[in-house]
Amino acid sequence: MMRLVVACLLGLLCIAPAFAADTRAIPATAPYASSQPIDTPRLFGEGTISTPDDEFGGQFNRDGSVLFFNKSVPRSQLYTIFQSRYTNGAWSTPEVSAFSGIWRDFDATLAPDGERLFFVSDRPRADGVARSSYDIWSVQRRGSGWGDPENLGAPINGDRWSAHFASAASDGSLYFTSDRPGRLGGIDVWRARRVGDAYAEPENLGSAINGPEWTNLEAIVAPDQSFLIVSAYGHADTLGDSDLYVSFQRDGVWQPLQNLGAGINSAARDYSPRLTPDGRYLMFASERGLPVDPHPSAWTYRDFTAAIRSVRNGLGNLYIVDLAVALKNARASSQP
Amino acid sequence: MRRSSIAPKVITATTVLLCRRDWPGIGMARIAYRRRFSAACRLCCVGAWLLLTAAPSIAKEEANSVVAELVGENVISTPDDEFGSAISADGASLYFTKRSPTTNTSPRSFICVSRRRGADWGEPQIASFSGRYNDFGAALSRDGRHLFFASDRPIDAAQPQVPGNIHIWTTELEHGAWATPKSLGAPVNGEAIDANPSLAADGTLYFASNRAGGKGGFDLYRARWLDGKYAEPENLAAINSAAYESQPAIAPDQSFIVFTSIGRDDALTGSGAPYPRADLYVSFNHDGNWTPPRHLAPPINSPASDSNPALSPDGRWLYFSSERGFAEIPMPQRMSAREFETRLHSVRNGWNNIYRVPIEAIHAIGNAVDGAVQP
Repeated sequence: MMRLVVACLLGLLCIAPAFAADTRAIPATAPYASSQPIDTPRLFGEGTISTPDDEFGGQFNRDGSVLFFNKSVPRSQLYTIFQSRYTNGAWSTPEVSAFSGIWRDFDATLAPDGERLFFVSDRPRADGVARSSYDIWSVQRRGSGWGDPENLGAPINGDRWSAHFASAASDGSLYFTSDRPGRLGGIDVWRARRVGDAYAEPENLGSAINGPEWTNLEAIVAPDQSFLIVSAYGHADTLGDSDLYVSFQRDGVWQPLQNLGAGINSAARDYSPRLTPDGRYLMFASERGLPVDPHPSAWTYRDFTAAIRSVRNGLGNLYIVDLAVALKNARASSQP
Repeated sequence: MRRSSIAPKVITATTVLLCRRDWPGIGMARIAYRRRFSAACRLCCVGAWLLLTAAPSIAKEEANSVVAELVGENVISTPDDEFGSAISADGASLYFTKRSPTTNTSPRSFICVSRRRGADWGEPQIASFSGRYNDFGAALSRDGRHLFFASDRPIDAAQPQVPGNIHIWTTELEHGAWATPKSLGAPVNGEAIDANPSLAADGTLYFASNRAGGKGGFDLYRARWLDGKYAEPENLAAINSAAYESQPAIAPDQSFIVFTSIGRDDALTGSGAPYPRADLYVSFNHDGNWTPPRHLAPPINSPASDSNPALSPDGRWLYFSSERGFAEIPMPQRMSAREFETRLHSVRNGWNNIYRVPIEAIHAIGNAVDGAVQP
C-alpha cells in the first residue's frame, strides 16, 4: 500500500517500485526521477557524467542529490571514484571523491539506509603492506561527508582471493562477488549474513547463480533480497560480452539467472548494475555504440577518429531505465 | 573472460594478438581481466624488480642511454589507440593500426597510413584496403610491393563476417594502388587464429598462431618461402613457452627476432592488483639456434604493455608500441578532477602510442649474448 501511495505522489504512471523500498528521507522528486516512464535505457548525464571517457558504477546517495561513479584510465591503469552534486537543476562538474585518487578504487554501492558506502580497492590494509588483490572497503556517512575508509576484514576479505563488488541488503546481509576458494565458476556471488556487528562465514549462492562457465563480476541485491541483478560473462544466451541477468528469490531459493533481454542488454558490454535508492530505476553501464553499431560504408579516418572521440565510442557510459520495465520479461517468465 | 561459446573464445584469444586488453585466454581464469588479478602474477612483480635492480650488465648500461622517441606526436600517436608499424622501403609511408577504445567489448580496428611531409608526418588516412572489417598488424615486404596484415574479413566477400575468425591476408601494389587482398590460405592460415606477419628478406614469413600443437597460448611460427609457395609452418620451439608469444619482428637476414610476450616471469608490472602486461623480448639466431629470449630493458619495456615491434627498412630503428602513460599505482598524489581529465585526454593517456629506439639497443644485447656464448 505504501508503495502505491509513493507512486502516486511521484506522479508515476502506475510504475511502482519493484520491491518494498524503505522510502524514508527519499524526496518525492529525486533528481534522477522522470515524470515519464523510461522504458528503454536512457543515457545519463551526457557530457557531464557520461562522456567520451570510461564511466561505470553510478550510485546515488540516499536523497539522490549526489551521484558517485567511476572513471578509469585505459587498460586498468587506474580506477578513480568521482562524485557530482545536483545543483540548480544540473549535475555539477564531477570531483574526485575524498577517499579516492591514489589506488585503484571502484564500484561504490550504498547500503539501503544510506549510512554506508562500500567500494573495492587495492590499497594497503592497516599494516601498510602493498596488496596484490582487491578488498572491500567502506566509508560511514558523517554529516554531509564520509569518514575514513575501513577494510571490511575477515571473513569477507582474505589473503588468497579478491573480493569484488559488495551490496548490502536491509537486514545487513552482504552480497559480494569473489574468486575465493569453494567457487563454482570464475567469480561467484556470495552472501554473508549480518550477525550482531559481524559478518557470518560467506555462503556460496549456489548453482542457480554460479557455474563453471560463468563469471559474475557484479551482483546488486534488492534491499528485501527478493531479487539479484548480476553482470555475467559466459552464458550461452549472451547478447555479447557481459550482460545483465536477474534471479528472483522464491521461498528462500534463488531461481536460475535470466537474461534481461534485448530491451536492456546490447551486443556490447553491459554491466555495473545499481538500483536507485527509491527502487524505481535500474542504472547500469554499457559500452554500446561504435564497436557494435552497424556502419554501412567503409570508414574514413576523420569519421573514425570523430567516432572514437564521441560519447558512444565504446567506453562505458551510464544508462537509466525503469526497474519494472527491466524486470518485466524475466518476472513474467519466472512465475510459477 | 567469455568462456562459454566458441566465438567468444576466439575473440578472447585475439586480444592477445592485439594486445588489446588484459583479458585472459581460456584456461587462464586466474589471470586478471578488468578488476581481476592473477595470483600467479604476484611473482612477476618480484621478478621485475630483481631484473631492474640486480642485473648490472653491459646491456643494461647501453639500454639506459637509450631514449624512446614518440613517433608523429598528435598526428600518428594521438590520444587514441595506435600501434603496429610498417615503414615503406623509401621511408615515406608509415602504416599503423588505429583501434576504437573499449574495456572489453570487441573494438573496431583499421589499418591507416601516413605519408611524410618533409620532417613531419601528414594526416593519416585509412588504407584503401581497410575500413570495413577489423584489420591490424601490417607488415611490408622488403621491396615494399607486398603488404601483409591480419583481418577478420570473410574469405568470400559475399559471406558474412565471422568475428574472431582472424587470418593473414596480403595485397600487392598494382599500378601504384593496393590490389584486393587475398587470404594466404593453407598452410599458413589454418583452423585457429593466424596473425602478426613479419617478412624476412628471403620471403620467409614469421607469424603468430594459437593453432593446435603449440606450447601454450599463442606461439611464434615460421613458414619458409620455397618454390613459390609457403612450406609447412614450424613452431619456434626454442623461443615459445607456455606463456603468450606473438608479434614477431624478424631481421631481414633472420639474425635476430624481437617479439611480444605476456606472462613471462621477468615481465614488468606495476604495483597494486597485478594485470598482465606485454613486454618485448629478443632472441638471436646462432648458427640456426635461437638463443634464450632476453627481456628488453627500459625504456623499451615499461610497467605498461609494450608490444608490436617492427624494424625500419633502413635497419636503423626498432619501432614498438606502448601504453605507458601518466597513471601508476600508487599515484604520487591525488589529482584534481581537472588534472585527471587533462591527462586522460593527452597523448600519454594510457592508450598505445608508437615509439622508436635506435637499433643499437638490440645490437648491444646481441654483443653481450655473443660475449657470453664465445668468451
